[in-house]
Amino acid sequence: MHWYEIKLGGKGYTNSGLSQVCRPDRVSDIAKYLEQVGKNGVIARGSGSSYADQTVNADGAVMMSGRLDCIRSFDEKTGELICEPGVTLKTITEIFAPRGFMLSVVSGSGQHTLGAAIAANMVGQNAHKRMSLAKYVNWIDVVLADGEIVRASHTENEELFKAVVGGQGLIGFIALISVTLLKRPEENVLVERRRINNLNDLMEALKSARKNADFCSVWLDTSAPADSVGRSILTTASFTKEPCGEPLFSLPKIKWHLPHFALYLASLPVFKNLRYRLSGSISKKVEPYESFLYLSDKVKVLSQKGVYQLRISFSEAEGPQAIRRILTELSQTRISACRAFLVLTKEDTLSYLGSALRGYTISLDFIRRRGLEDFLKHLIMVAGEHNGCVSLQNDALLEPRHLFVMYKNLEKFIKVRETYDPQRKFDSDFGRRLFLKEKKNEQ
Amino acid sequence: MNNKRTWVVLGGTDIIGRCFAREVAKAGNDVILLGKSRDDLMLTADDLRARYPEVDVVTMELDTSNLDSFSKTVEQCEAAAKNIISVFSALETVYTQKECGKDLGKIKNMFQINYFSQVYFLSAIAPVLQKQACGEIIVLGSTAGEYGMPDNYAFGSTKAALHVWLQGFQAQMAQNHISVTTVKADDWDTVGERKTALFQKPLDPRACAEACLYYAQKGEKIRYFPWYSALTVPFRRYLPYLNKQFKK
Repeated sequence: MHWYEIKLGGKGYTNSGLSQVCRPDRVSDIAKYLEQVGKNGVIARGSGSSYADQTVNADGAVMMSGRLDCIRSFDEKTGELICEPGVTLKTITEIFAPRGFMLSVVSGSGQHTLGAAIAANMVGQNAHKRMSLAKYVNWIDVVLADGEIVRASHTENEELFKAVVGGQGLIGFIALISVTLLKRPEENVLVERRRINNLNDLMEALKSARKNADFCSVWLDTSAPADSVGRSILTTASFTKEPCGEPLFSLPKIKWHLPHFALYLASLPVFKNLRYRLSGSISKKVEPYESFLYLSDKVKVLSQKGVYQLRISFSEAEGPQAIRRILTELSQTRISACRAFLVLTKEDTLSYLGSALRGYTISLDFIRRRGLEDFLKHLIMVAGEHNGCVSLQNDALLEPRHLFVMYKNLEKFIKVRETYDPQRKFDSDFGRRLFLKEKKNEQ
Repeated sequence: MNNKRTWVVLGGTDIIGRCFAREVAKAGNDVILLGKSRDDLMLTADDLRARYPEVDVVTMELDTSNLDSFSKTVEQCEAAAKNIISVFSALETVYTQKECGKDLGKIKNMFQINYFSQVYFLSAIAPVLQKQACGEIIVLGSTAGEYGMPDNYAFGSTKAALHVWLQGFQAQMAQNHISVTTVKADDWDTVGERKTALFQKPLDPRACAEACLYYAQKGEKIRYFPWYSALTVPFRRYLPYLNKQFKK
């Protein structure tokens, strides 16, 4: 059992800290490591895909789950997969997609570990159909602060389950997971890409996509002029029996490692305009299901200068108005996001800290620069005014006062935390940012 | 390697052994897992069966404290194997120099597992492979065996001894067309109590396992993982000397 002193950061490089790091090889080792945890507690870390301080624990301990990657069993009849938390989504797809199974949630990246996906209550491109991953989790074994392993599910220790799912690792360490994989209807998907001129047209298109498409995501042009706010490319996909055509030629499958400059390029209005213009007004393509997934893994940007992600959920009623306001402000202030996406979501009541509402979730990535934090805090205020909910998954700027407004079940979460981890053995920079102040205020 | 193999994986319960077993099972080869703990062996075996149901997985306990029992284990492996036998050895235990200083028995334990167990087992299975007149042996070494560092020289010495033994063993086995590949892994897991990690990302066990298999297929004798360690190791080896010269 070894500890290493390593500087760890979030994916966005906005937060980092020197931590004592351990990598348990077996589930039984977790409790032994927990005994050795000292000041500032410990936080679980999967692949480190969170943008900000969710898995950063400066002057504390970090427990990496990557080596807990054994699959315990798989039932072909029911689709029940029992595995350890370090198994990545990509691994599950690689192994079980050829056997006709799929994960209930399809995210942009397959590098996320299953444990982290549950702790962050991940939603994906099919969130309007399947809600979040938590719905398909049968049970989880959680290692609590005292080393005891407790099983939690929708029916057993329900409060603990709702707090751990989406709880960003602040309640306990997820040691074992039972999740149901869905039968994949067909091998191929029909991917349709449409260029959309403005927000009104987009909302109309999304209404039909919500009913008909299995997967849906929208690339937004955040630098579009005021008269065409909401200019975008809508990508929908549905399972199809049609065979996929053989391409005339195919490029070698390599992962592109791009420099930080590529992010600046992506945020330039010229580039966005070009991307919008170059995409055809409508295009259809039949692709194998596996190649349609995890598109963001194909490119890796080597940047340590800092990227913020703001992900906000709005209800169906408030969504169009709120999104219009955000996009208009982005256009007027000329603060361009290097990446802007919109997905449809279904209401998520399974997690105390679940952010998804039945409506829309907009995700904006910004390169760190002077004055940006104030602007993002302003956007958080705008979200609050429209009854939106900022996702905790990649957030770096939320304050405790926002939490009470945005998360109705926050008190239940705090109560569960007080019950199962009163000493706050599971803690992180994120936990201290959002919950320490709240505790002091209460006192 | 055109024919199907039965890979005997020593240390099949540790992360590299487990990843290697997955790699070879993915290619359709059968696996015999050897390890210390029965529970861990079953865990790895269940994992392989869930991932690749068509692959035949056998588990056998290996008592590294009883070297004489290895010949019997080899017999069992030979009986269980349905294909050409190949061997991957990742038996390893690591203690920092500080831990060794407190308890010298730990140095003995490291030599027992990192050196004697592997040497005895490979010597015991060598006749089986020679009889086949084909097959591969891959042994996981370490860059710690290349030069002594203040924080892990006891561990490094066990690996250095193994590297030297493998050089001779490789020449002997080559006469029977059996390739012996030593992969020297460079990982912060083995660096003891170094305060700052040069590379923040730890070694990717899956990539290491892939590399081991690739090097064995190529018939390489000695390779480093990651590959650039071949360049950095000589530099690191002579760094104290250079530092001394600068101070002069």
